[in-house]
Amino acid sequence: MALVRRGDAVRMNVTYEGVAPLTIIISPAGSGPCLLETRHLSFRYEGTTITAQQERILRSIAGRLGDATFDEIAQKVPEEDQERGAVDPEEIVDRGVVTVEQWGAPDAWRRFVFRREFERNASSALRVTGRRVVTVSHGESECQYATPAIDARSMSLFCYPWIRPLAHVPNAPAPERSIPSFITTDMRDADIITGGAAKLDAVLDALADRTCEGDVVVVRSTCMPHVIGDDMQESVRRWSGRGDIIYDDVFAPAGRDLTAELLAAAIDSGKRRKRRGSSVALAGIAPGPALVELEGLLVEAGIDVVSALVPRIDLERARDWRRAAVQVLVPDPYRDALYESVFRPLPLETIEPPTPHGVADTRRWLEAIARSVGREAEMRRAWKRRMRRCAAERRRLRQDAAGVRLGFVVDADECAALGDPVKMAGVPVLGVVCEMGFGIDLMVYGDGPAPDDRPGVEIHRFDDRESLQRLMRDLPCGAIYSDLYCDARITAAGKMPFCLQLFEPGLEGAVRTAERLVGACRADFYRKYGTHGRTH
Amino acid sequence: MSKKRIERIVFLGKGGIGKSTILTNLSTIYAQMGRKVLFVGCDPKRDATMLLMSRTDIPTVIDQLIRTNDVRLEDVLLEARSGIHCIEAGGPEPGVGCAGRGIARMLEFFTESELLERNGYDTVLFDLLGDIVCGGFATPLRKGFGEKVFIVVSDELMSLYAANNIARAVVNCAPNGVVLGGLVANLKDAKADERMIGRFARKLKTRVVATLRRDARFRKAEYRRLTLAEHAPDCETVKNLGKLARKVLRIDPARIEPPTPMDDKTFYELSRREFSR
Repeated sequence: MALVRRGDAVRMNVTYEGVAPLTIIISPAGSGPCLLETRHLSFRYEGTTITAQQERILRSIAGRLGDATFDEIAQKVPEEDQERGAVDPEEIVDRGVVTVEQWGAPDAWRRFVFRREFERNASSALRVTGRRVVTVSHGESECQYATPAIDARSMSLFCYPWIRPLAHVPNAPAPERSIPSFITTDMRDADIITGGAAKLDAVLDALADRTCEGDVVVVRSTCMPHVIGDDMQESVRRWSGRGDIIYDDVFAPAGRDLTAELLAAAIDSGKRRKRRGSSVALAGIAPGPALVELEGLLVEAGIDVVSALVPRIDLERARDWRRAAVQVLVPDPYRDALYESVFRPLPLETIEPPTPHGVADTRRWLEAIARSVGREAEMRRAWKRRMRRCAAERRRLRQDAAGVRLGFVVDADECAALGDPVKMAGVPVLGVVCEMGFGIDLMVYGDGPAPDDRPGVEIHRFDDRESLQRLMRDLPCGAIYSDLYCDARITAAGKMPFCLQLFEPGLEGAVRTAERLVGACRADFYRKYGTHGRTH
Repeated sequence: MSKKRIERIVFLGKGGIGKSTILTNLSTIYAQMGRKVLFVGCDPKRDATMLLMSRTDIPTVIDQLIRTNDVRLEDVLLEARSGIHCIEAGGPEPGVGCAGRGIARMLEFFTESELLERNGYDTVLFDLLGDIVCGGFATPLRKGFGEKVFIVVSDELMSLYAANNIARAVVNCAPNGVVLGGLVANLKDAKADERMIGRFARKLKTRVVATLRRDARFRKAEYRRLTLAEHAPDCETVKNLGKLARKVLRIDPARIEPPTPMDDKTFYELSRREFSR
């Protein structure tokens, strides 16, 4: 089926196997003679006759459109000749938010940022470390192909920012060495029909005899048990008396957040530990070279880092949390609920300086921490020393960055989001790459204002799929942003996709980020071979 | 040689309205007429199959699936009195799992085993539970399964509301060749407003194909684990059921227009006036 708007009517071309093609003309009710009229719509057909089968189809479509108004339909249907993409009538019936999950959404061709995908899977970034972890995935085995990858070595459809950096990226830290034990309940048809909670209970019962003291069991839900109504939280609650258990919900947790409870209990268990003077506890920076560097800079300034948690959940280090004089929470939209339930209620001074991505913000972040514990002068000296050490590298990368350009594709009203860390998984992407000296090609859909007037940013408008493809192919940018794994729209244009996985916090992290981005722009693989993978 | 036509009949309606009672009786009557009948139970309660089989331990497709992860026809296809073949989907314990998926899985089994085609049935009756609440419960309305849908109603408002919803499902499934054969009024109240049901039927662009009234013999037959057609074959109610059985067969799906269900607002507005305008 294909829909197109012509004047005051929507034309729907319908083809069914074994039935002659039919064009249905939908217009507002009362707009003239018609075959069928619903509350808001009138239905005609093109031609002079209609077969019984065709009429049955027409009535079926009218029934499915229910009480939709003409305006509701018309606003989702492109003008004839303006946009060639076929629109599935399902989209008109479904008036929900258009997301990547809706296959064939009318704006899918110009979506390159998938925040909702990150949001709904954010809990998978939380990692319990320092203990043996047994993950129980409750769902179908096949589901593992669509949910976020378990580690940096497995593949996913999306470039989840917390699986970072990729193993093939220069200077990437080694992937986690300890592969957690992984069990799937492997739901089968019979489990779906009769309910899967009993199977989850059986797996957990079996685990009770096989886990050791100190092990942490993570129960990770998939979609299917939610659809059939398995009460997983109850299974987890029942088991919680037997050991440490975390419920990692694929959707927002509806009730108790056991991850938060476990973490809060571990922090609380260390409340009698002695507080240290100029000490801080950090939340929101993933383990890796960036955390090592930032901790090192703080230590150089005489600031002791007593604990660093989230997304790593180290229950041993959590016991030291309350020894800190100040807790530092790195702003992260996906962690805010955890901050609110676990960290902000603690009787500790709390600061939340802007996220340390890029050189300037890293400096501001360190200065804010130093100020909070009275170590500003020491921090200034430490910063200078570190800047001197990487000055040559930065100069070289700035020169390299100045010679290449990065591309972004956004709707006009989404431009500001590119520079907003709250909207971009904690990374102010546009600000960081501008600071590094990259030229930016901002491909903007629609006529709305594109407010970003940073130096080096050039705005290019597009109105349809073809003009976007032309821009992606012809603009000088060497790499284009997309959260989709190996985005074929970009590779077919001969460009390299890049994503948040390349971005690291910290000063040296900024240097490594710039190096990766320059490398992405210069890689000519897709320039040479991208057309071979072109899809339609 | 032309392919044998299989009458594929589905009875739907609000829970407790009498679908299973009517359908078990129709099955018996069809078998008495010499037709080769398959009765398909899609209700986790499996009460209709129990009645036809005079036993309570009914092996179901889902039971077999749980037990062996495989289903063999000989394990689930049962022969009842009068030679009626019965197959029962079964389902989960109340409050867990997905009964709709159970029904869908059974129909997948029908396709895999070519059950309808291979056994030479000429009449297949689907007994579904209650309202069509989701896609799983609508699988019997997919291509190749149900064809003639009948909705059992009473003069109670919510039974008509459910009927209107079911008519929507019929519209959605119309491209599969599903038609609404009509309404069957099953009236427990002697003073029930029969004409109001007729007006409601006209709003849906369908008709009332039979009106059945309360008959205490139904209950007596059930206690004897018999259908009324077996318990009191000569009574007036069974004669009416016989008329319904023949009428159902005479309906030509090609000549039936899709129904015109109302949106909820219209339904409630019209129901205030008992569908008089």
